[in-house]
Amino acid sequence: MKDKPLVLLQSGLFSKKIGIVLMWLLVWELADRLVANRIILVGPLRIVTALVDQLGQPDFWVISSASFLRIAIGFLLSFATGFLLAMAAYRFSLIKDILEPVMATLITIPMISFVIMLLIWVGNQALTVYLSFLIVLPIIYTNTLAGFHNADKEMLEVAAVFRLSSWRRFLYIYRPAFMPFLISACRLSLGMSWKAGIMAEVIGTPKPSIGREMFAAKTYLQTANLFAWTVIIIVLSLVFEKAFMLLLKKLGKPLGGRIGGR
Amino acid sequence: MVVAIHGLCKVFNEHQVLRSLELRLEDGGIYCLMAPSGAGKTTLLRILLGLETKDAGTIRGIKPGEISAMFQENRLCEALTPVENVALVCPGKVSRSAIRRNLELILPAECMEQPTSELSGGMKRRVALARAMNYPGKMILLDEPFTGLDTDTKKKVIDYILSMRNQRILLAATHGEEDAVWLGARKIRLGDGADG
Repeated sequence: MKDKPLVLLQSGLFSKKIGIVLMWLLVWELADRLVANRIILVGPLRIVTALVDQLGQPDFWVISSASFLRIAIGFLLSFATGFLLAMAAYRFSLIKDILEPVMATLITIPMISFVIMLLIWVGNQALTVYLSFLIVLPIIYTNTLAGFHNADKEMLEVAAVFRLSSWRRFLYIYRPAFMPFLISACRLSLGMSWKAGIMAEVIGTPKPSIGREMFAAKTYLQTANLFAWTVIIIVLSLVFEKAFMLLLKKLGKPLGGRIGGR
Repeated sequence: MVVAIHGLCKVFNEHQVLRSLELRLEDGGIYCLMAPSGAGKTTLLRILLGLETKDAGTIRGIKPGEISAMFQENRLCEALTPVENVALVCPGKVSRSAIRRNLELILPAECMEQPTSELSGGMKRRVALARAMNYPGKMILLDEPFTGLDTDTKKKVIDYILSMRNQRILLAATHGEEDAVWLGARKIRLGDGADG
C-alpha cells in the first residue's frame, strides 16, 4: 500500500476534527430540543441568537474592554514582576531565600481566600487586577528562575573567558535557557488569569464587567446570556493568549543580527 | 611578555593532577602540551583561564581575561551563524564582513549564514577555533584543536592559526606528535618541562 502525501493526510485530519466538532454541536442541539427548558440547557442556536443580541447592545464593547483591560493589566504586571524577581533571585541567593516562602504560600492559598481578602483590602473595582496578579506571579517566578538555573554552564565559562558584557550574556546565554520555561509558564498562566479574573468579577461585580453581566444572568435565570458571555470570554482570552504568545516567540528569536556592524 | 608558572599544584578528590609544575613560556613562543588523557592538560589550561582554582603555586605574566581560548568542546551558540559566534566575543562594534572574510579562510562560504547547529562537527570545531583566534587576547590556549579534522583540513587550519597568531604565545594541548611539528612548536610533556 502506498503512503498518502502529507497534505492529504493533514486535510483528512482537519476534516475529521471539523466533523467531530459538528457532531458534538448536533448532539448538544438535540439535547436542548429534548430537554426543552431554557433555564436548564441552552443549545448552540439559541446561544448564537443571545450572542448576536449582546453584540448589538450599546455597552457591549465597554463591558468587554473593561474586563479585558483588568485581566490583561493584572497578567502583564505579574509577568514583569515575576520575571524581575526571578532575575534578582538568581543573582542574589538571599532574595531567593526571602521569596521562597512567599511564593510557596501564594501557590497553596485557595483562590477564594484571596478573593475574600482582596475584597476587604482593595475593594471590588481593583479585585480582578490583584487576583490575576497574585495567581500568575508564582508561576512566572518559579519557571523563570528554573530557566535561569538551566543556563548552559559551559557557555557561562565561555562568557567569563571572553569577558562578555552582562547584556550579551543575558541575550545569548540566559535568554535561550529561560525562554522555553517562560513560554510554558505563560501558556499555563494566561488561561488561569482569565479564569481567576472572571471569577473575581462574578464575586466582586465591578462595573462595568463581564462578571457582573454573568452574575445578572444567573440572578434572572438568563442561561442563554450566561453561555453567550462565556463564549465571549473564550474569544477574548484566545485573542490575548495568541497575541501575547506571538510577542513572546518574537522575543525568543536568536537575535544574531544585532551583533557587530556591516 | 613571559608567562612563568612556578610550583603549580592541583588536587581533585585526593588525586594529584598537577604536582609542582614549573613552566616558562617565552614571548611569541609556540608550545604543544603533550600528555596522555587525564594527565592534567585541561586542568592546567583551566587554571590559566581562571576557571579552576590552584591549590598552590604562582602564575606570572598573564591573568584571566587576557587569554583567548578554544575549549575541548565547541561551546558555540548553536542558534547563531559562524560569523555571529565570532563577532559575539569581539569587543566593540566589529565588522561582520571582515569576520566573514576571515572565516572563509577555513570554512566554505555557503555555511556562513547557517545556524551553527546545522554545521558538521569539523566545521563547528573550526568556528570555535576562529572565535579564539579573533579574540584580542595576549595569549592563545587551544585544547585539542584538531579533533575531527582530516589531514588536509588540519594543514589548512594550522596555516590559519599561524597567520592569525600575531606573535602571541600559543599553547595547544594535543595528542598528535605531528601537530607539534606542523605548528613548529616546542613540546611540553607534563612533568618534564619544555623540549624540542
